[in-house]
Formats: sequence, C-alpha cells, structure tokens
Amino acid sequence: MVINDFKYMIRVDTLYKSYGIIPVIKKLDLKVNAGELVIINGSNGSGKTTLHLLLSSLIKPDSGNIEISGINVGDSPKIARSHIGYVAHDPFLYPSLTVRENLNFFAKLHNISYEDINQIFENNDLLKLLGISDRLDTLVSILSHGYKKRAGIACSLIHNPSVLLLDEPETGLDSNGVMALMDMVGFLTNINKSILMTTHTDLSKFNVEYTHYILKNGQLI
Amino acid sequence: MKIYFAHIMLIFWKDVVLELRTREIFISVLVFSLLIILTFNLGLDNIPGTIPTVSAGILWIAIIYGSVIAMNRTYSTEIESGAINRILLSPTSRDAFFFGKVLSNMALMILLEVILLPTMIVLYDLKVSIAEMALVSLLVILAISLVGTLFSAIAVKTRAKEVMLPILLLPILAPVLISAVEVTSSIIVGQTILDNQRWISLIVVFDAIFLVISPALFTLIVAE
Repeated sequence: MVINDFKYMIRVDTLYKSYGIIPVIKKLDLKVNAGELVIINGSNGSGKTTLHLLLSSLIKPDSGNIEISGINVGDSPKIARSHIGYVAHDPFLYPSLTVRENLNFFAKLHNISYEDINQIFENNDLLKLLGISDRLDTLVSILSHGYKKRAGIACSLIHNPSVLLLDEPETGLDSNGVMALMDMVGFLTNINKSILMTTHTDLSKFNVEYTHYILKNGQLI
Repeated sequence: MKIYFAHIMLIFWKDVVLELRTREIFISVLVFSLLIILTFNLGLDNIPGTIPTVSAGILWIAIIYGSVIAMNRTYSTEIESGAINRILLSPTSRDAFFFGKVLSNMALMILLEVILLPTMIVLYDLKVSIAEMALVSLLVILAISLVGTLFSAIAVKTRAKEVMLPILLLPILAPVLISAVEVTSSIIVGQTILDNQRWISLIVVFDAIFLVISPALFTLIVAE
C-alpha cells in the first residue's frame, strides 16, 4: 500500500520480534525524517542487526508496523525494497566478478537502465568519494577487505535509495576508510537521504549532525 | 513481464560468467559422469547382449548423479558470499530468481549430455535417433532441474546438505527416471517416441506440475 502523503521516511510502530522464546525487539517505536541521520548504539546481542533485518524486510516481525518512504513493508515488500539500501558487516558481493560487474548486476536487478548504469560509472561522486573509481575493473576476490567494504557500500547505493540502513559499516575500514564513509554519510544527508546507522565508533569527531539512541532490552532509549 | 524475463536471463548469465571464470562445477561433474560410463563399460564388456538393455539406465544414472553434484552447488556462491541478501533485497521476484537458477542447471545438464551421449554411442556401439533423444532429454532435464533447484534450496539450509539433496531428490524423480530409461531403451532398439506416448505423457505431466508448484514452494522456502 503506497501512502502519498507521508511525514517520515522510516516509521516503526510497536515492533516486536522474538527468536523462539527470547524477545529481541520489544514494542519498538522509531521515526526518521528525510535527511536525518540516526545513530544507534548498543551492546553485542542487543538486537541492532535484527532491527536492520526487520527494516530491510529480510525477516518478518512477529507484530508491529514498518513504513519506508510511506510504503508499508509488510504489505508491499517489493516496492519498499526499492527504497532501501542496506550495508551489512560483510560486502555481499560475488568474489569472482569485478567491482563493475557486481555493480552492473545489482543495478540491473533494480531495473536501472543500461544508459543510467554507464552514466554512474562515468561520472559518479559517490564512487569517487568511496575511492573505488580506479578499482572498478578489479576482481572483488583480490581487493583488500576495506575496498571490498567500499565496493559493497557502492553496491547498496547503486539504485539511489531514499533510506540507507548501515549496520556497523566502519567494521574493517582503516581511518581513511572511516573518514571517507563519514564524508559519504554527510553527503547523503545533505541530499535528503535518511540514514539509520548502528555503530561502535565515537562520531563526535566527525562533522555530522545526528540523533542518538541506545538500543537496550529491545527498546530505544 | 519483460522485466521478469530480463531478471531470469540476468541470473542465468551471471551464473554462466561465474562458471566460465571459475570452472568450479562443470569439470568435476563431467569427470564424475564419464567415470560412471567408463566403469560400467569395463564391467559389462564381457557379458554379450546386455549393452542395448542397460545402456539407457547407465546414461541416465551418469546424468542424474552428475546433476546431484552440480545442484548441490546451486546456491553456494550466493550463500557463501552473502550476495543472496542483495538479491532478496532487490525488487526481483523470488520466482524469477528460481527460474534463473533452473535455467543455469538446465544449461549445465544439456552440456553434460551433449558430451555423454556421443561418448555412450562410441563406447557402447549404439544407434540412436539424435532428434528423438534431444526431445526426450529436454523434457527429462527440465524435470530434474525444476525439482533439483527446489530441493537444493531446502538442502542448503540443512547441516548434511551433500547427503540431504540426493535423499530428497531421487525418490521424487523416480517416475521421471523410470520413464526416461524406458523411452531411451526403446529409442536404442529402433522404436520411435510415438511408440512410447504413455511414458512421454508422464514426463510432460510431471514437468507441468513442477513448473507450477516449484516457484511457489521456493518463495515459501526463502520467505525468511
């Protein structure tokens, strides 16, 4: 179901998810505006990754409601997914394909035209910002972990999603990589993308504005 | 609909490129299947009159066991790399992904048979109608691919996936394999497909049923 007049890019109401008898997310509420960066901290096992998986529709909640760009994820997961970019711990790329081939493949799965894909490769600020413009024709298997991660981030952004879910994206990146990542986050919020990011890194040294939550006992505080 | 088929072809071509680059599956499957044919050839060489009767069974045993090895790897690249998450996160429908994988498995099996059949003809001195064999093989390979691609999605979630796939697959495929052997035997002894309408019908019905239920079941399997 598409809601034409929506206020929040991410809206979560009374979300509940348990694994067996162990509740992980308990009646969680969250609202993220357009262009807003939300940072979520939490100890290991607090449910950060589960929250990302729920928002990205990779797993289903036991109860509660999730809307992404006004689209109910439960009712129209296929449409909602086209608005989501998800960056996980691992890059999720085919190691035997080059960075360009990976980007090409996933862009086509998102129904991006051949001309638009070429334009992305020829002149794209994000590829330059991530520092992978000169590694497009390198096999993913021979890239360092940091560059694999950068290529994975580029792949998550290839379809120009309005909402970006970053699950500890700084894992495996060196200080330059983290700097490039935070520059990218700043760049994306400036162009009105909404970002939900879980991290263990202290972001106070970076020049970005954000709303901060802690995930504890399945709820945001 | 155009996008749907474009996604099927995209998954298929990606698998072709990966296989051409890594040669991970086909070579091992081919060697294994050729070994089956050669072993039977050595074992049956001294028993006159048995070859025309059993050669159809040998051919389909070599193909089905080779296919089991190949289909065990159907989703391994996606799962090991995590790329399955990106595919599931894209607007691509689950059944387009499934049919892309069916097409990849079919292509591999067709290529396998293109090499195995002439090898059988030479080693066992057979005379077969290639056109009729091609038609029967296409129907049987479609059935094996549909069921194999579906059950490998179930098996890949289990701990003993290499053992689980043949345990699940072979009993379900029994009617198709029996039909395939019957039709192939009669082609070898000079009969035509028209003499085997009952067996051919059984394979066609099997294909039709699994063409409908396999994508639906696959969507359920990958739902969470």
